Amino acid sequence: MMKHYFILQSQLIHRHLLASGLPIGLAYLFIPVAFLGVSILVFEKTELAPILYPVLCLTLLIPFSNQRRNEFLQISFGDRRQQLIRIMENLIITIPFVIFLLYQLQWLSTIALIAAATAMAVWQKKYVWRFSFPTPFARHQFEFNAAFRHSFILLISIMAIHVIAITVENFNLGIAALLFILVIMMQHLSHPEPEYYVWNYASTPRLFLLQKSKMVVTNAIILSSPIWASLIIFFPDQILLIITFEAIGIAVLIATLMSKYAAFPYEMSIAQGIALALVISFPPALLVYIPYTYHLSKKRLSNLLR
Amino acid sequence: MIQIENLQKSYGSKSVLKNINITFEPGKVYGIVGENGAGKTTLFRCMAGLEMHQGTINSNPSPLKNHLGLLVTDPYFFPKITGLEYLKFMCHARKLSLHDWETKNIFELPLNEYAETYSTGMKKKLALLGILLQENHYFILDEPFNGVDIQSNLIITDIIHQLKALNKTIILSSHIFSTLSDNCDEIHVLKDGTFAQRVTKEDFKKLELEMKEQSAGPRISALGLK
Repeated sequence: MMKHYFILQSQLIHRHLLASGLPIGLAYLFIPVAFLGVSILVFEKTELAPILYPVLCLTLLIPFSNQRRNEFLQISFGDRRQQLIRIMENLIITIPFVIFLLYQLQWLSTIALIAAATAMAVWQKKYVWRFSFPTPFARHQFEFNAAFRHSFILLISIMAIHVIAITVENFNLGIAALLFILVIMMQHLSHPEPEYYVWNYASTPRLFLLQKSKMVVTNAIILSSPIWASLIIFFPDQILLIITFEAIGIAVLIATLMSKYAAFPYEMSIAQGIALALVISFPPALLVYIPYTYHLSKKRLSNLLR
Repeated sequence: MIQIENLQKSYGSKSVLKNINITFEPGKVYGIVGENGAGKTTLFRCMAGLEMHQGTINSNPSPLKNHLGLLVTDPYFFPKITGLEYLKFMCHARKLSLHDWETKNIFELPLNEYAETYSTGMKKKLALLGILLQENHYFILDEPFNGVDIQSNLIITDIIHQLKALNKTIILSSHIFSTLSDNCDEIHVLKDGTFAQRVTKEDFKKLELEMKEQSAGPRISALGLK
Protein backbone atom coordinates (compact mmCIF):
# COMPACT_ATOMS: atom_id res chain seq x y z
CA MET A 1 0.00 0.00 0.00
CA MET A 2 2.78 2.42 0.97
CA LYS A 3 4.82 1.35 -2.04
CA HIS A 4 1.87 2.20 -4.24
CA TYR A 5 1.62 5.62 -2.56
CA PHE A 6 5.25 6.48 -3.31
CA ILE A 7 4.95 5.23 -6.91
CA LEU A 8 1.94 7.52 -7.28
CA GLN A 9 3.94 10.45 -5.86
CA SER A 10 6.76 9.85 -8.35
CA GLN A 11 4.17 9.77 -11.16
CA LEU A 12 2.78 13.09 -9.92
CA ILE A 13 6.25 14.66 -9.93
CA HIS A 14 6.80 13.36 -13.45
CA ARG A 15 3.50 14.93 -14.58
CA HIS A 16 4.46 18.26 -13.00
CA LEU A 17 7.74 18.19 -14.90
CA LEU A 18 5.95 17.34 -18.13
CA ALA A 19 3.62 20.29 -17.51
CA SER A 20 6.58 22.60 -16.90
CA GLY A 21 7.05 23.06 -20.62
CA LEU A 22 10.71 21.97 -20.63
CA PRO A 23 11.84 18.82 -22.49
CA ILE A 24 11.54 16.09 -19.88
CA GLY A 25 15.24 15.08 -20.02
CA LEU A 26 16.26 18.69 -19.50
CA ALA A 27 13.81 19.08 -16.63
CA TYR A 28 15.32 16.05 -14.86
CA LEU A 29 18.80 17.46 -15.45
CA PHE A 30 17.78 20.92 -14.26
CA ILE A 31 16.74 19.82 -10.75
CA PRO A 32 20.12 18.43 -9.55
CA VAL A 33 22.04 21.17 -11.37
CA ALA A 34 19.89 23.91 -9.81
CA PHE A 35 20.17 22.23 -6.40
CA LEU A 36 23.95 22.07 -6.62
CA GLY A 37 24.18 25.63 -7.91
CA VAL A 38 22.03 27.03 -5.08
CA SER A 39 23.85 24.93 -2.45
CA ILE A 40 27.29 26.12 -3.57
CA LEU A 41 26.04 29.71 -3.80
CA VAL A 42 24.60 29.68 -0.27
CA PHE A 43 27.86 28.38 1.23
CA GLU A 44 30.02 30.71 -0.84
CA LYS A 45 28.03 33.89 -0.23
CA THR A 46 27.23 33.84 3.47
CA GLU A 47 28.74 32.77 6.75
CA LEU A 48 25.23 32.03 7.99
CA ALA A 49 24.95 29.10 5.55
CA PRO A 50 25.01 26.39 8.28
CA ILE A 51 21.79 27.97 9.61
CA LEU A 52 20.21 29.20 6.36
CA TYR A 53 20.76 25.98 4.40
CA PRO A 54 18.76 23.69 6.78
CA VAL A 55 16.09 26.43 7.02
CA LEU A 56 15.88 26.41 3.21
CA CYS A 57 15.33 22.65 3.27
CA LEU A 58 12.68 22.90 6.01
CA THR A 59 10.84 25.56 4.00
CA LEU A 60 10.46 23.00 1.21
CA LEU A 61 8.86 20.58 3.66
CA ILE A 62 6.13 22.99 4.81
CA PRO A 63 3.60 22.13 2.04
CA PHE A 64 3.78 18.45 3.06
CA SER A 65 2.52 19.35 6.54
CA ASN A 66 -0.74 20.67 5.12
CA GLN A 67 -3.49 19.72 7.55
CA ARG A 68 -6.00 18.51 4.96
CA ARG A 69 -3.34 16.44 3.23
CA ASN A 70 -2.38 14.81 6.51
CA GLU A 71 -5.98 14.11 7.41
CA PHE A 72 -6.47 12.44 4.03
CA LEU A 73 -3.42 10.25 4.63
CA GLN A 74 -4.66 9.43 8.12
CA ILE A 75 -8.08 8.37 6.81
CA SER A 76 -6.53 6.35 3.98
CA PHE A 77 -3.65 4.66 5.80
CA GLY A 78 -4.38 4.86 9.52
CA ASP A 79 -2.35 6.66 12.21
CA ARG A 80 0.82 4.57 12.28
CA ARG A 81 1.28 4.28 8.49
CA GLN A 82 0.45 7.95 7.99
CA GLN A 83 3.25 8.95 10.36
CA LEU A 84 5.63 6.55 8.68
CA ILE A 85 4.78 7.96 5.25
CA ARG A 86 5.26 11.51 6.47
CA ILE A 87 8.63 10.73 8.08
CA MET A 88 9.78 8.95 4.91
CA GLU A 89 8.61 11.83 2.70
CA ASN A 90 10.45 14.41 4.76
CA LEU A 91 13.62 12.35 4.98
CA ILE A 92 13.65 11.62 1.23
CA ILE A 93 13.53 15.36 0.49
CA THR A 94 16.15 16.02 3.17
CA ILE A 95 18.68 13.46 1.81
CA PRO A 96 20.39 15.72 -0.80
CA PHE A 97 20.66 18.54 1.75
CA VAL A 98 22.10 16.15 4.34
CA ILE A 99 24.69 14.90 1.82
CA PHE A 100 25.74 18.46 1.01
CA LEU A 101 25.93 19.40 4.70
CA LEU A 102 28.10 16.32 5.37
CA TYR A 103 30.32 17.32 2.43
CA GLN A 104 30.69 20.72 4.12
CA LEU A 105 31.48 18.93 7.42
CA GLN A 106 28.54 20.61 9.14
CA TRP A 107 27.75 17.84 11.64
CA LEU A 108 25.59 19.90 13.98
CA SER A 109 23.49 21.34 11.15
CA THR A 110 23.03 17.83 9.72
CA ILE A 111 21.73 16.42 12.99
CA ALA A 112 19.51 19.47 13.56
CA LEU A 113 18.07 19.18 10.05
CA ILE A 114 17.22 15.47 10.38
CA ALA A 115 15.68 16.03 13.81
CA ALA A 116 13.63 19.03 12.63
CA ALA A 117 12.46 17.21 9.46
CA THR A 118 11.32 14.21 11.55
CA ALA A 119 9.62 16.47 14.09
CA MET A 120 7.78 18.29 11.29
CA ALA A 121 6.49 14.94 10.02
CA VAL A 122 5.31 13.79 13.44
CA TRP A 123 3.88 17.09 14.63
CA GLN A 124 0.29 17.64 13.65
CA LYS A 125 -1.84 20.69 14.03
CA LYS A 126 -4.61 19.62 16.39
CA TYR A 127 -6.40 22.90 16.80
CA VAL A 128 -7.12 25.96 14.72
CA TRP A 129 -5.77 29.25 15.99
CA ARG A 130 -8.62 31.70 15.57
CA PHE A 131 -6.77 34.87 16.49
CA SER A 132 -6.09 36.95 13.41
CA PHE A 133 -2.90 38.98 13.27
CA PRO A 134 -3.35 42.65 12.52
CA THR A 135 -1.19 43.79 9.58
CA PRO A 136 0.06 47.21 8.56
CA PHE A 137 -1.03 46.87 4.94
CA ALA A 138 -3.59 48.45 2.64
CA ARG A 139 -7.02 47.19 3.60
CA HIS A 140 -8.19 45.94 0.22
CA GLN A 141 -5.39 43.66 -0.88
CA PHE A 142 -4.83 40.14 0.27
CA GLU A 143 -1.31 39.34 -0.96
CA PHE A 144 0.71 41.18 1.67
CA ASN A 145 -1.74 40.46 4.50
CA ALA A 146 -1.53 36.73 3.78
CA ALA A 147 2.26 36.80 3.27
CA PHE A 148 2.80 38.75 6.49
CA ARG A 149 0.74 36.31 8.54
CA HIS A 150 2.22 33.22 6.88
CA SER A 151 5.82 34.32 7.32
CA PHE A 152 5.45 36.17 10.60
CA ILE A 153 8.03 34.10 12.50
CA LEU A 154 10.47 34.29 9.60
CA LEU A 155 10.02 38.08 9.41
CA ILE A 156 10.66 38.41 13.15
CA SER A 157 13.84 36.31 12.74
CA ILE A 158 15.02 38.58 9.91
CA MET A 159 14.34 41.64 12.06
CA ALA A 160 16.42 40.01 14.82
CA ILE A 161 19.28 39.41 12.34
CA HIS A 162 18.96 43.04 11.31
CA VAL A 163 19.21 44.20 14.93
CA ILE A 164 22.42 42.14 15.21
CA ALA A 165 23.67 43.75 11.97
CA ILE A 166 23.09 47.23 13.41
CA THR A 167 24.62 46.29 16.79
CA VAL A 168 27.82 44.85 15.27
CA GLU A 169 27.82 47.58 12.57
CA ASN A 170 27.72 45.03 9.74
CA PHE A 171 26.20 46.93 6.80
CA ASN A 172 26.29 43.90 4.45
CA LEU A 173 24.27 41.80 6.89
CA GLY A 174 21.71 44.62 7.11
CA ILE A 175 21.38 44.70 3.32
CA ALA A 176 21.07 40.90 3.31
CA ALA A 177 18.16 41.22 5.78
CA LEU A 178 16.52 43.80 3.50
CA LEU A 179 16.84 41.51 0.49
CA PHE A 180 15.66 38.49 2.47
CA ILE A 181 12.39 40.27 3.30
CA LEU A 182 11.85 41.07 -0.36
CA VAL A 183 12.63 37.45 -1.31
CA ILE A 184 9.90 36.24 1.08
CA MET A 185 7.41 38.60 -0.55
CA MET A 186 8.58 37.46 -3.97
CA GLN A 187 7.79 33.87 -3.03
CA HIS A 188 4.25 34.83 -2.05
CA LEU A 189 3.70 37.01 -5.11
CA SER A 190 4.81 34.34 -7.55
CA HIS A 191 1.88 31.94 -6.92
CA PRO A 192 -1.30 32.64 -8.88
CA GLU A 193 -4.49 33.29 -6.96
CA PRO A 194 -7.71 31.55 -8.12
CA GLU A 195 -9.27 33.13 -11.25
CA TYR A 196 -12.22 34.39 -9.20
CA TYR A 197 -9.96 36.87 -7.36
CA VAL A 198 -8.96 38.48 -10.65
CA TRP A 199 -12.28 38.10 -12.43
CA ASN A 200 -14.01 40.05 -9.65
CA TYR A 201 -12.32 43.31 -10.62
CA ALA A 202 -14.44 45.68 -12.67
CA SER A 203 -11.35 46.96 -14.41
CA THR A 204 -9.34 46.66 -17.59
CA PRO A 205 -6.15 44.54 -17.61
CA ARG A 206 -4.06 47.73 -17.78
CA LEU A 207 -5.73 49.32 -14.74
CA PHE A 208 -5.68 46.04 -12.85
CA LEU A 209 -1.93 45.59 -13.40
CA LEU A 210 -1.22 49.21 -12.47
CA GLN A 211 -3.30 48.86 -9.31
CA LYS A 212 -1.47 45.67 -8.33
CA SER A 213 1.92 47.25 -9.06
CA LYS A 214 1.03 50.24 -6.91
CA MET A 215 0.04 47.86 -4.12
CA VAL A 216 3.37 46.03 -4.42
CA VAL A 217 5.41 49.24 -4.29
CA THR A 218 3.52 50.72 -1.32
CA ASN A 219 3.37 47.55 0.74
CA ALA A 220 6.98 46.53 0.04
CA ILE A 221 8.15 49.95 1.20
CA ILE A 222 6.02 49.66 4.36
CA LEU A 223 7.15 46.10 5.13
CA SER A 224 10.84 46.82 4.67
CA SER A 225 10.67 50.25 6.32
CA PRO A 226 12.12 49.17 9.70
CA ILE A 227 15.20 47.89 7.86
CA TRP A 228 15.83 50.60 5.28
CA ALA A 229 15.01 53.37 7.75
CA SER A 230 17.38 52.07 10.41
CA LEU A 231 20.08 51.42 7.78
CA ILE A 232 19.80 55.06 6.66
CA ILE A 233 19.99 56.23 10.28
CA PHE A 234 22.98 54.08 11.23
CA PHE A 235 24.83 54.13 7.89
CA PRO A 236 23.95 57.59 6.48
CA ASP A 237 26.96 57.61 4.14
CA GLN A 238 25.54 54.50 2.38
CA ILE A 239 22.16 56.06 1.62
CA LEU A 240 22.55 55.78 -2.16
CA LEU A 241 23.39 52.11 -1.93
CA ILE A 242 20.42 51.47 0.40
CA ILE A 243 18.02 53.23 -1.97
CA THR A 244 19.48 51.31 -4.93
CA PHE A 245 18.98 47.93 -3.22
CA GLU A 246 15.44 48.85 -2.15
CA ALA A 247 14.58 50.06 -5.66
CA ILE A 248 16.01 46.95 -7.32
CA GLY A 249 14.18 44.76 -4.79
CA ILE A 250 10.87 46.43 -5.55
CA ALA A 251 11.53 46.23 -9.29
CA VAL A 252 12.12 42.48 -8.86
CA LEU A 253 8.80 42.19 -7.03
CA ILE A 254 7.03 43.94 -9.90
CA ALA A 255 8.80 41.64 -12.37
CA THR A 256 7.57 38.66 -10.31
CA LEU A 257 4.03 40.05 -10.34
CA MET A 258 4.11 40.54 -14.11
CA SER A 259 5.59 37.06 -14.64
CA LYS A 260 2.78 35.58 -12.55
CA TYR A 261 0.07 37.26 -14.61
CA ALA A 262 1.90 36.46 -17.86
CA ALA A 263 1.32 32.79 -17.03
CA PHE A 264 -2.04 33.27 -15.31
CA PRO A 265 -4.06 31.26 -14.28
CA TYR A 266 -1.28 28.67 -14.31
CA GLU A 267 1.88 28.55 -12.23
CA MET A 268 4.96 29.97 -13.89
CA SER A 269 6.69 27.29 -15.97
CA ILE A 270 10.28 26.29 -15.24
CA ALA A 271 11.34 28.17 -18.39
CA GLN A 272 9.65 31.35 -17.11
CA GLY A 273 11.24 30.81 -13.70
CA ILE A 274 14.67 30.54 -15.30
CA ALA A 275 14.07 33.71 -17.32
CA LEU A 276 13.10 35.58 -14.13
CA ALA A 277 16.15 34.21 -12.28
CA LEU A 278 18.44 35.34 -15.11
CA VAL A 279 16.92 38.82 -15.06
CA ILE A 280 17.36 39.03 -11.28
CA SER A 281 21.03 38.10 -11.63
CA PHE A 282 21.43 40.99 -14.10
CA PRO A 283 19.15 43.78 -12.78
CA PRO A 284 19.50 46.22 -15.75
CA ALA A 285 17.57 43.61 -17.76
CA LEU A 286 14.53 44.47 -15.58
CA LEU A 287 14.11 47.59 -17.72
CA VAL A 288 13.25 45.36 -20.67
CA TYR A 289 11.76 42.42 -18.80
CA ILE A 290 9.06 44.35 -16.88
CA PRO A 291 7.52 46.07 -19.96
CA TYR A 292 7.71 42.81 -21.90
CA THR A 293 5.94 40.73 -19.22
CA TYR A 294 3.48 43.61 -18.66
CA HIS A 295 2.51 43.31 -22.31
CA LEU A 296 2.14 39.51 -21.99
CA SER A 297 0.11 39.88 -18.79
CA LYS A 298 -2.23 42.38 -20.40
CA LYS A 299 -2.86 39.92 -23.20
CA ARG A 300 -3.27 37.02 -20.79
CA LEU A 301 -5.79 38.86 -18.60
CA SER A 302 -7.85 40.18 -21.48
CA ASN A 303 -10.13 37.12 -21.27
CA LEU A 304 -10.93 37.76 -17.63
CA LEU A 305 -11.00 41.55 -17.43
CA ARG A 306 -12.75 43.94 -19.75
CA MET B 1 -31.47 41.55 -19.42
CA ILE B 2 -29.07 38.77 -20.43
CA GLN B 3 -29.40 37.34 -23.91
CA ILE B 4 -27.57 34.16 -24.84
CA GLU B 5 -27.47 33.10 -28.48
CA ASN B 6 -26.05 29.92 -29.95
CA LEU B 7 -23.77 29.30 -26.98
CA GLN B 8 -21.51 26.32 -27.51
CA LYS B 9 -18.67 25.01 -25.42
CA SER B 10 -16.41 22.03 -25.96
CA TYR B 11 -13.45 20.61 -24.11
CA GLY B 12 -11.42 19.00 -26.88
CA SER B 13 -13.80 16.71 -28.71
CA LYS B 14 -16.26 16.62 -25.80
CA SER B 15 -19.14 18.97 -26.40
CA VAL B 16 -20.46 20.26 -23.05
CA LEU B 17 -22.90 22.96 -24.16
CA LYS B 18 -24.75 22.71 -27.47
CA ASN B 19 -26.52 25.64 -29.03
CA ILE B 20 -27.92 27.30 -25.91
CA ASN B 21 -30.44 30.08 -26.57
CA ILE B 22 -32.10 31.82 -23.67
CA THR B 23 -33.06 35.26 -22.38
CA PHE B 24 -32.96 36.13 -18.69
CA GLU B 25 -35.18 39.09 -17.89
CA PRO B 26 -34.94 41.55 -15.00
CA GLY B 27 -37.12 40.99 -11.95
CA LYS B 28 -37.26 37.25 -12.49
CA VAL B 29 -35.75 34.21 -10.78
CA TYR B 30 -34.63 31.39 -13.05
CA GLY B 31 -33.87 27.89 -11.90
CA ILE B 32 -31.45 25.67 -13.77
CA VAL B 33 -31.63 21.96 -13.06
CA GLY B 34 -29.81 19.03 -14.50
CA GLU B 35 -27.90 15.95 -13.47
CA ASN B 36 -24.27 16.17 -12.41
CA GLY B 37 -22.22 16.86 -15.52
CA ALA B 38 -25.21 18.26 -17.47
CA GLY B 39 -23.28 21.51 -18.00
CA LYS B 40 -24.74 23.87 -15.35
CA THR B 41 -21.44 25.05 -13.93
CA THR B 42 -19.91 25.35 -17.42
CA LEU B 43 -22.88 27.49 -18.49
CA PHE B 44 -22.37 29.74 -15.46
CA ARG B 45 -18.63 30.00 -16.11
CA CYS B 46 -19.26 30.92 -19.75
CA MET B 47 -21.76 33.59 -18.70
CA ALA B 48 -19.25 34.98 -16.20
CA GLY B 49 -16.56 35.09 -18.88
CA LEU B 50 -14.41 32.52 -17.11
CA GLU B 51 -14.52 30.17 -20.11
CA MET B 52 -13.92 30.83 -23.78
CA HIS B 53 -16.95 29.82 -25.85
CA GLN B 54 -18.72 30.14 -29.17
CA GLY B 55 -21.88 32.19 -29.54
CA THR B 56 -22.82 35.49 -27.94
CA ILE B 57 -23.79 36.59 -24.46
CA ASN B 58 -25.12 40.16 -24.32
CA SER B 59 -26.35 42.12 -21.36
CA ASN B 60 -27.55 45.55 -20.44
CA PRO B 61 -25.66 46.99 -18.56
CA SER B 62 -22.57 45.59 -20.18
CA PRO B 63 -20.05 43.96 -19.79
CA LEU B 64 -21.94 41.31 -17.87
CA LYS B 65 -18.99 40.30 -15.70
CA ASN B 66 -18.69 43.74 -14.14
CA HIS B 67 -22.30 43.63 -12.92
CA LEU B 68 -22.52 39.98 -12.01
CA GLY B 69 -22.40 38.42 -8.57
CA LEU B 70 -21.20 34.86 -8.94
CA LEU B 71 -21.64 32.48 -6.02
CA VAL B 72 -19.69 29.34 -6.81
CA THR B 73 -20.48 25.93 -5.30
CA ASP B 74 -17.31 25.72 -3.28
CA PRO B 75 -16.03 29.24 -2.57
CA TYR B 76 -12.28 29.58 -2.10
CA PHE B 77 -10.80 31.86 0.51
CA PHE B 78 -7.21 32.90 0.60
CA PRO B 79 -5.44 31.46 3.64
CA LYS B 80 -4.88 33.89 6.50
CA ILE B 81 -7.45 36.39 5.27
CA THR B 82 -10.22 37.44 7.66
CA GLY B 83 -13.87 37.49 6.66
CA LEU B 84 -13.89 41.27 6.89
CA GLU B 85 -10.81 41.60 4.67
CA TYR B 86 -12.53 39.37 2.10
CA LEU B 87 -15.65 41.58 2.11
CA LYS B 88 -13.49 44.70 1.73
CA PHE B 89 -11.65 43.07 -1.15
CA MET B 90 -14.94 42.20 -2.88
CA CYS B 91 -16.19 45.80 -2.57
CA HIS B 92 -12.84 47.28 -3.61
CA ALA B 93 -12.79 45.08 -6.74
CA ARG B 94 -16.00 46.83 -7.84
CA LYS B 95 -14.75 50.29 -6.79
CA LEU B 96 -17.00 50.44 -3.72
CA SER B 97 -16.24 51.07 -0.05
CA LEU B 98 -17.57 48.98 2.77
CA HIS B 99 -19.30 51.01 5.50
CA ASP B 100 -21.25 49.85 8.55
CA TRP B 101 -20.03 46.32 8.13
CA GLU B 102 -21.28 45.32 11.58
CA THR B 103 -24.89 46.03 10.61
CA LYS B 104 -24.45 44.45 7.19
CA ASN B 105 -23.21 41.21 8.76
CA ILE B 106 -26.70 39.68 8.54
CA PHE B 107 -25.45 36.11 8.96
CA GLU B 108 -23.61 37.07 12.17
CA LEU B 109 -20.33 35.71 10.89
CA PRO B 110 -17.15 36.04 12.98
CA LEU B 111 -15.69 38.51 10.48
CA ASN B 112 -12.46 39.09 12.39
CA GLU B 113 -11.49 35.43 12.17
CA TYR B 114 -9.71 33.83 9.22
CA ALA B 115 -12.22 32.79 6.54
CA GLU B 116 -10.38 29.49 6.00
CA THR B 117 -11.41 28.41 9.52
CA TYR B 118 -15.12 28.87 8.76
CA SER B 119 -17.43 25.88 8.38
CA THR B 120 -18.77 25.02 4.89
CA GLY B 121 -22.02 26.87 5.53
CA MET B 122 -20.26 29.94 6.95
CA LYS B 123 -18.00 30.08 3.90
CA LYS B 124 -21.02 30.02 1.64
CA LYS B 125 -22.67 32.80 3.63
CA LEU B 126 -19.51 34.93 3.50
CA ALA B 127 -19.24 34.46 -0.26
CA LEU B 128 -22.92 35.37 -0.67
CA LEU B 129 -22.54 38.46 1.53
CA GLY B 130 -19.55 39.47 -0.63
CA ILE B 131 -21.55 39.49 -3.86
CA LEU B 132 -24.56 41.16 -2.22
CA LEU B 133 -22.38 44.05 -1.05
CA GLN B 134 -21.15 44.55 -4.62
CA GLU B 135 -24.50 46.00 -5.69
CA ASN B 136 -24.70 43.74 -8.74
CA HIS B 137 -27.48 43.71 -11.34
CA TYR B 138 -27.28 39.99 -11.99
CA PHE B 139 -26.76 37.05 -9.69
CA ILE B 140 -25.73 33.52 -10.48
CA LEU B 141 -26.16 31.43 -7.36
CA ASP B 142 -24.75 27.93 -7.82
CA GLU B 143 -26.14 25.77 -5.02
CA PRO B 144 -26.70 28.64 -2.54
CA PHE B 145 -28.57 26.47 -0.04
CA ASN B 146 -25.97 23.70 0.19
CA GLY B 147 -24.47 23.23 3.64
CA VAL B 148 -26.29 26.23 5.07
CA ASP B 149 -28.37 26.03 8.29
CA ILE B 150 -32.18 26.34 8.32
CA GLN B 151 -32.24 29.95 9.58
CA SER B 152 -29.80 31.06 6.89
CA ASN B 153 -31.79 29.16 4.27
CA LEU B 154 -34.76 31.28 5.21
CA ILE B 155 -32.67 34.45 5.04
CA ILE B 156 -31.33 33.47 1.60
CA THR B 157 -34.87 32.83 0.36
CA ASP B 158 -35.88 36.25 1.65
CA ILE B 159 -32.84 37.86 -0.01
CA ILE B 160 -33.77 36.27 -3.35
CA HIS B 161 -37.30 37.67 -3.06
CA GLN B 162 -35.96 41.13 -2.20
CA LEU B 163 -33.52 41.08 -5.12
CA LYS B 164 -36.36 40.12 -7.40
CA ALA B 165 -38.41 43.05 -6.08
CA LEU B 166 -35.44 45.30 -6.87
CA ASN B 167 -35.69 44.15 -10.51
CA LYS B 168 -32.48 42.12 -10.41
CA THR B 169 -32.01 38.99 -12.49
CA ILE B 170 -31.30 35.86 -10.45
CA ILE B 171 -30.22 32.52 -11.82
CA LEU B 172 -30.28 29.66 -9.35
CA SER B 173 -29.11 26.11 -9.42
CA SER B 174 -29.99 23.58 -6.79
CA HIS B 175 -30.29 19.85 -6.38
CA ILE B 176 -33.11 20.32 -3.89
CA PHE B 177 -36.25 20.76 -5.92
CA SER B 178 -38.29 22.51 -3.20
CA THR B 179 -35.76 25.37 -3.00
CA LEU B 180 -36.26 26.00 -6.71
CA SER B 181 -40.05 25.69 -6.68
CA ASP B 182 -40.23 28.11 -3.73
CA ASN B 183 -38.10 30.77 -5.39
CA CYS B 184 -38.20 30.52 -9.16
CA ASP B 185 -40.49 31.91 -11.83
CA GLU B 186 -39.20 29.47 -14.42
CA ILE B 187 -37.15 26.29 -14.30
CA HIS B 188 -34.98 25.22 -17.22
CA VAL B 189 -33.88 21.64 -17.48
CA LEU B 190 -30.39 21.22 -18.83
CA LYS B 191 -29.76 17.81 -20.35
CA ASP B 192 -26.71 16.70 -22.33
CA GLY B 193 -25.58 20.29 -22.77
CA THR B 194 -28.81 21.72 -24.06
CA PHE B 195 -32.07 23.07 -22.57
CA ALA B 196 -34.47 20.18 -22.86
CA GLN B 197 -37.43 21.79 -21.08
CA ARG B 198 -38.73 25.17 -19.92
CA VAL B 199 -41.23 24.88 -17.10
CA THR B 200 -43.32 27.71 -15.64
CA LYS B 201 -44.58 27.92 -12.06
CA GLU B 202 -47.88 26.14 -12.67
CA ASP B 203 -46.09 23.03 -13.97
CA PHE B 204 -43.43 22.72 -11.24
CA LYS B 205 -45.29 19.87 -9.50
CA LYS B 206 -45.51 17.95 -12.76
CA LEU B 207 -41.81 18.42 -13.39
CA GLU B 208 -40.94 17.17 -9.93
CA LEU B 209 -42.99 14.04 -10.44
CA GLU B 210 -41.42 13.44 -13.86
CA MET B 211 -37.93 13.76 -12.41
CA LYS B 212 -38.73 11.38 -9.57
CA GLU B 213 -40.09 8.80 -11.96
CA GLN B 214 -37.10 9.05 -14.28
CA SER B 215 -34.46 8.82 -11.63
CA ALA B 216 -35.36 7.28 -8.30
CA GLY B 217 -37.23 4.01 -8.86
CA PRO B 218 -35.52 2.06 -11.65
CA ARG B 219 -31.99 3.31 -10.83
CA ILE B 220 -32.08 2.28 -7.20
CA SER B 221 -33.47 -1.15 -8.01
CA ALA B 222 -30.52 -1.61 -10.39
CA LEU B 223 -28.26 -1.54 -7.32
CA GLY B 224 -29.86 -4.69 -6.00
CA LEU B 225 -29.52 -3.54 -2.40
CA LYS B 226 -29.57 -6.41 0.12
